[in-house]
Amino acid sequence: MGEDRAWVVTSAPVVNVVPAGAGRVVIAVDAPDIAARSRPGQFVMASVPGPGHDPLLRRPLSIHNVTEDTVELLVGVVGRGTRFLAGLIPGQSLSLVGPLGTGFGVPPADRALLLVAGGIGIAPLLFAATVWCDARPVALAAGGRSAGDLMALDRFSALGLPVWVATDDGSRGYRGTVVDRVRRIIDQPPGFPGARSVQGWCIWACGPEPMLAAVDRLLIETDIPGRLSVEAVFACGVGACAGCARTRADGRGYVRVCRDGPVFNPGEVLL
Amino acid sequence: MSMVVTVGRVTLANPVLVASGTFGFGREFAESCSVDHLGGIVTKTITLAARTGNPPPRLVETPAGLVNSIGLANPGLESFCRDELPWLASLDTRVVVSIGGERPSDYGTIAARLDGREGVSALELNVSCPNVDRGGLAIGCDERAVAETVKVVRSATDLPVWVKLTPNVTDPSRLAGVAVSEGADAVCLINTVRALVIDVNTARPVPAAGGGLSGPAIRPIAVRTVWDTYAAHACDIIGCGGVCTVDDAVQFLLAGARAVSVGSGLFADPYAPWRIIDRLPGRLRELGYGRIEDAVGRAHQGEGTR
Repeated sequence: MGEDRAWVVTSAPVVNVVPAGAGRVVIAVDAPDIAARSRPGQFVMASVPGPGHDPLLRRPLSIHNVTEDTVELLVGVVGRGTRFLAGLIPGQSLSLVGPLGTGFGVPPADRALLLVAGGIGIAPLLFAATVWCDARPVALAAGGRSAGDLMALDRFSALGLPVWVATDDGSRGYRGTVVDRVRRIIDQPPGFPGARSVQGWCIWACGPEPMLAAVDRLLIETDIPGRLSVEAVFACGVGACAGCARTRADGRGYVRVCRDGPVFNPGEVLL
Repeated sequence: MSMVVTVGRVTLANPVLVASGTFGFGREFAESCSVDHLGGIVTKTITLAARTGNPPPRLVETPAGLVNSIGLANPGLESFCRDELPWLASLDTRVVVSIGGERPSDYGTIAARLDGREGVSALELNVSCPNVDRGGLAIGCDERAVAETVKVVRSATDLPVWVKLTPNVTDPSRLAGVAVSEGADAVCLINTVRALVIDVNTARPVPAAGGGLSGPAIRPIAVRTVWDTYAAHACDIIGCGGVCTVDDAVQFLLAGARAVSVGSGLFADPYAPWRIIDRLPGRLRELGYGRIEDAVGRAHQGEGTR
């Protein structure tokens, strides 16, 4: 099968584990077979080994970044699976299935790319930024309930991107939701000096469901092109079991988030 | 050691299949794995009409397992024959088509359509799905309904007929006996166990209408069902329920199965069936068996009689 495999199962040595605030970590693993195939917006299924296959299911993690053979994963602790992952140390190995899913795709050539993040939804957007920041004007709008819910912003600043911050409680940046902040951003044409023939914005968003729903509404209302990364509970992760189905917005059945997504166009998935 | 086995009138290159509902129609795995090296593929259950399936959430993880309520989402018989079967027919591995219906006659109708179709090695009758309102489990819990369904299918086709049975009855081995006496060539033991989780925060059941439990948590139930059925009927059995490792597979063989299906095990490790296929000959040899046949049902023979 070799190079034309869509996804692989690989045992990836943990290279580095860096705290990312509030118990979160960025895990860097050596996974050349996944790194070589990955596109922004894709994810991996990480094994949480326990005696007797408990827990049974792998945990889905967006690909946070790829550098040569190294894949980075941003993990927040929400249960026993992620608690295990956050406790990994260099020298241990992590079994991964990936890369999986559709990615964000290619941003329109005549648009500036606004990455919109809610909380840990920022995870896949770093990979998007590193891949596209040379070919497009890229900016980030990141939000959370309070300053403690913001993470990874330094990685975007390091790329030289404009970063706007919003917190519901005003503890950092704009006081309000990230979508409120985005409305103000898109009111103006993208102001990237030297960016030729930028017609407007394209928005790629990832975050909690209410935020995604608000972005979805915004994109439909303004006719701004965009892509939304959606969540679900996965079993197989590859599109074979139909367990991750989510309802189509047009009422015509379901989509498989792991295969038809996780990234969708606005107005595709009922949010 | 040869891994070739004949079970339910189908000769498999090895005794490891993948279970219905966990492998789709094979395309997704074929993109990344050598599906031709599997002993067989049991397809997602197809029904006469297309079904979109149940609303989400369809899955919830439970200790060493999961509860699913997919709801037999499938493209329907016509689309299957047109869009999936030609590709399946091109594979070397054996293809067992799982079929479902609301009433026995539905199974007969589908069986007649698939009779003689290139690529179909056997039919697996899904009379055990807990996630549909009509048919499925409702048939599999009823001896007369099972008998009628097998009889209708038997008269509609010469294809090998396997019957996938539910553990959600007092004595599954009775249903196995009924199926075999009506002409079934093998029974698949077991389908999922009726189950439910309550979300303590919302006070709601998940899945909303209940679902079926699968994975290592049910393996002892599945092994017991194989054991009881083999003891009662010595019929051809495909063991299914929490097979993840080579020793899981060996357990089922020793209990009386001639082959095993890997289902939820794929979720923990997509390569699981291939790893079992690789390791099975060596493991059987290690345990003192010269042929697969020597292991089948061996646990019924008592101590020291290897």
